[in-house]
Amino acid sequence: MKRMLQFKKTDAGYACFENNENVFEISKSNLQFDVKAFYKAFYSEDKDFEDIEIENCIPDDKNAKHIYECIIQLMTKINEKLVELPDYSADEQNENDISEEE
Amino acid sequence: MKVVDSGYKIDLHIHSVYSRSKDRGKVAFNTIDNIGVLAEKLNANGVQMCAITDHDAFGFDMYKALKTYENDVQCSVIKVFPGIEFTVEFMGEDGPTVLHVIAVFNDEDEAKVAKIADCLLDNKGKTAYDKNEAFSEEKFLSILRSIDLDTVLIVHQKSSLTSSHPYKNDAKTVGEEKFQEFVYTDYFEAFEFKNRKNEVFNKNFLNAQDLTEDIRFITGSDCHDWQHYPKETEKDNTDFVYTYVKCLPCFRGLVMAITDHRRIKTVNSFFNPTETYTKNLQITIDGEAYEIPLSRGINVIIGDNSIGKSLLLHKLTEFRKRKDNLLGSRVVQGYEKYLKKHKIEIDTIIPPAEVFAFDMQGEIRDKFEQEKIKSDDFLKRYYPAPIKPGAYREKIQRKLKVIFDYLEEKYSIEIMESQLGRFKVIDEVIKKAESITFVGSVTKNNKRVAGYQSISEDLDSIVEQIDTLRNNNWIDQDDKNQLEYIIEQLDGMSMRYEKKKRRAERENTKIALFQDAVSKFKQKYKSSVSDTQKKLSTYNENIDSAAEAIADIIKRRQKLEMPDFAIEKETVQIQTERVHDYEFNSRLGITEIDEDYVKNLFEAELNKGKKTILELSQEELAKRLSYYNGTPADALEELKNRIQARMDDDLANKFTITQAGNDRTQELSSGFNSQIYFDILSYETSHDGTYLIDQPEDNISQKAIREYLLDRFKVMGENRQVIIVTHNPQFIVNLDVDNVIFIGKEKDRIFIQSGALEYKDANYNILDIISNHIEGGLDTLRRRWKRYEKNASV
Repeated sequence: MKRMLQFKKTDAGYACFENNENVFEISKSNLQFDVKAFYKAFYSEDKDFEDIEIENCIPDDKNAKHIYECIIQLMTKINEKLVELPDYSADEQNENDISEEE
Repeated sequence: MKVVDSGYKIDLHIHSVYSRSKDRGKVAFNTIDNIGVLAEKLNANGVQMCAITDHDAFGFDMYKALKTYENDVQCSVIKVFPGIEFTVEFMGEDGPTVLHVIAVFNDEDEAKVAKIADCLLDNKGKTAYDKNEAFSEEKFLSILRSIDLDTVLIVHQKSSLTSSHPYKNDAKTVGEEKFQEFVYTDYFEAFEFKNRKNEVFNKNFLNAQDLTEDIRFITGSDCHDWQHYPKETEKDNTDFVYTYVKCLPCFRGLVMAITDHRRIKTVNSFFNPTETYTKNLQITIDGEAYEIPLSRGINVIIGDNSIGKSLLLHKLTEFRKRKDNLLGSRVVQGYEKYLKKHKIEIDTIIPPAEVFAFDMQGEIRDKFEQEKIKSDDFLKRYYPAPIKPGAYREKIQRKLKVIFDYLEEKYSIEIMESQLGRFKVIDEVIKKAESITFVGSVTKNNKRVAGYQSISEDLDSIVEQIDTLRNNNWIDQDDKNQLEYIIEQLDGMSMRYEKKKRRAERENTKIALFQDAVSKFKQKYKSSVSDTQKKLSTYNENIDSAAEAIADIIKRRQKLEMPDFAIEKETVQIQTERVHDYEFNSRLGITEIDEDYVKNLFEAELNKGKKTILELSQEELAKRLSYYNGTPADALEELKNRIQARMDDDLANKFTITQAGNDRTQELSSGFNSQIYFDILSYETSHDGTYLIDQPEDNISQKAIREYLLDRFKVMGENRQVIIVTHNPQFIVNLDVDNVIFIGKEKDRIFIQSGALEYKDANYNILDIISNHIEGGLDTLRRRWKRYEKNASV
């Protein structure tokens, strides 16, 4: 199921809201991207990450733009990596194929 | 004959023509002229001791005619007793009741036997009935007094004692109260029955009334027509069963037998005929050779202190206790010196193979008071072979491996998650700089190498096990061939995985070389670009690295499947060897393996909590693991070790003893040890040989001897030859031993006298020896004097 989030400005910085709940925030004071917090917000446990859409609710805020783009960039990269990485069964099959060839 | 080596078949209830006053024509054939017919019938039936017991009459000529067959080697009969079947009126609960009482007399004094008939007659030469065709109880007793012979009284009992409608003249017709009086005053030595089916009813009656020790049953044919012996008459269809008695063939022996239910049986099973036993002791004392017959059953050696009783046992067994360091060499030297001094030569040796066990003096006491029996060699031989836990262990290990693999991967993912770092988000200006970004790194896969190695090692281990199985001598050739084929296949498989492992190792080597080259190139590149370009390059690498780490975590998490604890339920085999009413078990610490067992392996190591082991994080595991103070990183390894230790303990073979389903292993101490010991000794029949024991009464209360130990020895005496050295009269008289060997000393000269309890000859009488030489022997004899001789004064 598609997850819809909003990227908004907060008192401390910029944050992604899901059902009005702040799930991931970057402080404007140091602009540190906490990968673990990001992972927890979007990918951990049994969270559905197949189809996530983040709406930039502050498109005119120039400072927020590169933060928003960083989030989107990381998500895109993750999707690409998931496609690239072989899964276990494919890995084993590959090994068996090599063995057969020998 | 001094000792008994078999039971004797008896029939003490046969009628002759002298019963004609009551039985008329029924006994017409049984004249003195036809005594040969009776002898022939007795011989055909193997009867060895018998008596003609006519109704209120005694025919001395008839008795003498039958008695001549005692000396006929062609005839089975070896003892004929005089006897009478008295018709006696007792005062029962419902008035006068007539019972038939068989009196069997001592045959030693023939002059008195010859006068028996006279004692039955009144002044007019008629039967001295004082009641209607019967004797009053008083008259009956007065006749017995006038006969003046030791007597055995047997009351005739046609129906079983359980019958609610006793036959006319049966003992039970006197009513319950009088019947109880008969029982508890030992009025009659035995109750007679004839029909085999009544045997079961009678036994049930004794058990139900707890009268086993108080009432003895014997059978009698009550034959009235010798042509049809052992039938009563031609028309008699009763299923008659003979009685065997264990005694010397003499009146004293008969009395001994008939007053002890253990000496009376309807099958001749007093001794174990297949048991190896020592037939006699060959001893020479001061030039005089003794050949002392030994019984197949219980032999006791008695005599004063330091007379050489223990010495005899040790010498018979060639001082074998020296080997166990239980007999010091100085003691042996002392024994040899004693033998020399008294010019005693003991020529009989009981070879080790013919000794079932030998408990020397004090050894039993040790077994009672210490706990030696726990590790006693004696018990060891009864345990079955240990259970091999391999198959059970393999099954559990497989499940544990799945669970531990899951936990390892889960914790590894947790670590990866915790190591996800931070990076700084860059601004618009830097983003516009041009730079080279190093992305798409490759990493070594050590897990794969380990995985292949593990498969290869496991396969090799299985091959080893199958190879061991293949070399088992008991395996069929076809199965051996099958196993060889399987080994070939597994060897091939193992080699394939070995190759895979080597290939994965080569791949890792290549990756390491590549990583090294890239790293060097990065360093070179970064030293030649601007700071802005460096920042952009680093940012892109951070994004890429974070994406790769998260994707990796996701992938591994997707692959991670939570296992369960389920395992196919299997009952763990128990091997049991039954001895007497004990079960000697070889078993593992657990009786079955199932899901609960696997679950409990984990739960036993964890403090209480809501989450199962599968739901715990590494940190949580470290907190829940009981008595654990190590780091979270080491917690799983600790858990593995603990579970392994617990499982090893559960799967270790244990030897236990159960009795009627209850585990008695923990009770193996002092008194219970000795009980098991003697129980097993008594009922054990699979190991051949003589049991020798020196003073079993040591440190055992008289009560324990009376209530427990004697019974065990009685059973033992039926299964094997037993030789006991004792000073305790209970072991002689109450045990009703089969042979007494007395070692005495007169004027510093050692002598030996022996025989069954009832034995006597011109020189000695065994009962006298016991009363004179055993402390308390006289009292014991007095208490039980009735069983020996009614008229004797001990």
